[in-house]
Amino acid sequence: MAIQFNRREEILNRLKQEGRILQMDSEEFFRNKEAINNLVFEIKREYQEKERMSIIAASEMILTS
Amino acid sequence: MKSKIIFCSIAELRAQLTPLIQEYFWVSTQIAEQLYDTRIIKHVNRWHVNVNILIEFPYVDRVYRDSYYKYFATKMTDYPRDCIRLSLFNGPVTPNEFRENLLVADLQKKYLGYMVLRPSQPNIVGRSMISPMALQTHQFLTLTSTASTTACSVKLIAEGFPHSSQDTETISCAETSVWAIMEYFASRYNEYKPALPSHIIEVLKDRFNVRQLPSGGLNMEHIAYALKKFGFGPKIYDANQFGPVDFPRLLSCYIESGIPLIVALDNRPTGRIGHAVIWVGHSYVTDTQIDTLPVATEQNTKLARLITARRISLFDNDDIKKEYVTIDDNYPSYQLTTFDRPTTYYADPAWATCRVTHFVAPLYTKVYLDAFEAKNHVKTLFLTLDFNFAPGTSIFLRVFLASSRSYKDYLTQNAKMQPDIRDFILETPMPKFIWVGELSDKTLIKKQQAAGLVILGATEKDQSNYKALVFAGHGDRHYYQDSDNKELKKISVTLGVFTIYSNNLKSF
Repeated sequence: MAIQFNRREEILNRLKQEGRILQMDSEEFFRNKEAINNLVFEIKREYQEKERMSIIAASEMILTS
Repeated sequence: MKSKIIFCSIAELRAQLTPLIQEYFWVSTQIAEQLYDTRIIKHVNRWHVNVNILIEFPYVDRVYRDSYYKYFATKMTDYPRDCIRLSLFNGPVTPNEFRENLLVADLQKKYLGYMVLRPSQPNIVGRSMISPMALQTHQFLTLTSTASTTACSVKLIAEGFPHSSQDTETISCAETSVWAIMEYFASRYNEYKPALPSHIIEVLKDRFNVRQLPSGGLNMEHIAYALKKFGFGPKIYDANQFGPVDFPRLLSCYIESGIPLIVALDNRPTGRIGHAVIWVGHSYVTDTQIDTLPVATEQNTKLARLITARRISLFDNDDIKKEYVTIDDNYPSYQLTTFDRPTTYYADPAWATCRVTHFVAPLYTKVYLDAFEAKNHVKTLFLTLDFNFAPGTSIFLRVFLASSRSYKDYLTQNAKMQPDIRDFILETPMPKFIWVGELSDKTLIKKQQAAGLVILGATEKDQSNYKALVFAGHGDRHYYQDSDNKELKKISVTLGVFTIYSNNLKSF
């Protein structure tokens, strides 16, 4: 007989019934998310600049030894 | 042309090998002895005393033949076409063992790899794949691949990291590094193919305004370009751009991820050396190194403020001063060295001032999220999600890239992880590669354990709105993206401690 195997759904259903799953939709959560998005954007810009300069510097690094 | 097969011990090798070098490489006895004493002995001296050797001639080596037809045969001077191959075994082997069915099976257990000698004097040590187990000291973690080969006509599997010395005419250190990276990946993944010296020259021909043979070396951009043409999505990191704190951390993070790195060593303008090596692993981390690890300096001011605000002491696994396992075409395989003094094994004092200036990470094309952004995002998430860290909590952070296949396979065997969380993660859809941040502390990490986890999809470059987050959990709080409404949800289950992932590097 075929056995259907989906533990993830079982776990989520059980935890939902036990009231142990919470959707993150509070105002504080959205404020926090906005702050994270700003930080992520800042890190991305920093990385793009460092990556661009790394590529330029790499073209002058000749390796022969 | 007479073929030769000789079985001998290390003690007998010089006497057996030098007449063959003299005869088959067309050199005088004096030069043959000199080649052994200057080029071969430094490899042999590192081998375990129990190593026995099978010498075979002629051996047609595909890498040397490629250089021969593309370059050496175009010279007026005659160069031999054939090579000598040394096969290494743990303990004595006899001709009978290679011809009797029952004995052949045991040969694989004794086999420690091979080394090819090519007639490109003085740089005669060619392609090799030698197991760390052949060495007198092999206490390190490293990447290895396997290659199907033969010894005395018997098919065997060699395990090790590919190595070759440069011949200085068709391949310099830079081409050798690209060749070794391709050999490694081609033997492990179907996506890649080995690259012979002529292939490397061919893919780079439009990037050169001058002739490519004899080789004048490559720059780091050429190396990255060749890797891109061979199917990677390479990334270049410059020490000056990423700075003295982040640059060594990024290098360590990739090594911990099981990515072999092409590392540029340089001492110009005070010296005249620019050299490429491959870093493939690291030494074991000791309890003392963990105990004495200082609190990590955070370079990003906003992250630093978050750490201070949460009153956390953060320790970074990538700050541990490990020794790195180096594949250097001027030296035998698996040299151990440090980031601060990367040429400690060089006898020539001119090399002492070399420093790591760049590295190239040959990433899978769809790993869009690099180590710099991934590490910062892991920190951002565990500092901003509502984890219950008591003031003064110490966190030991270890971040690495892993394939989701390997990671899930490890989870199936990680009996210590809370079963619901383990099954939940196992059945969570993931991209081919994931970034994993393990949260531990100094006590737990010494027992190879962690108490928290952040998993990011490595294919998600856009980290806004938790898009890259696959799972994050610590204590009794866990977060995941709901697949239906794409909103973040929190689960309350106690995670406990679990065994850390250690499948990226192999221990010897």
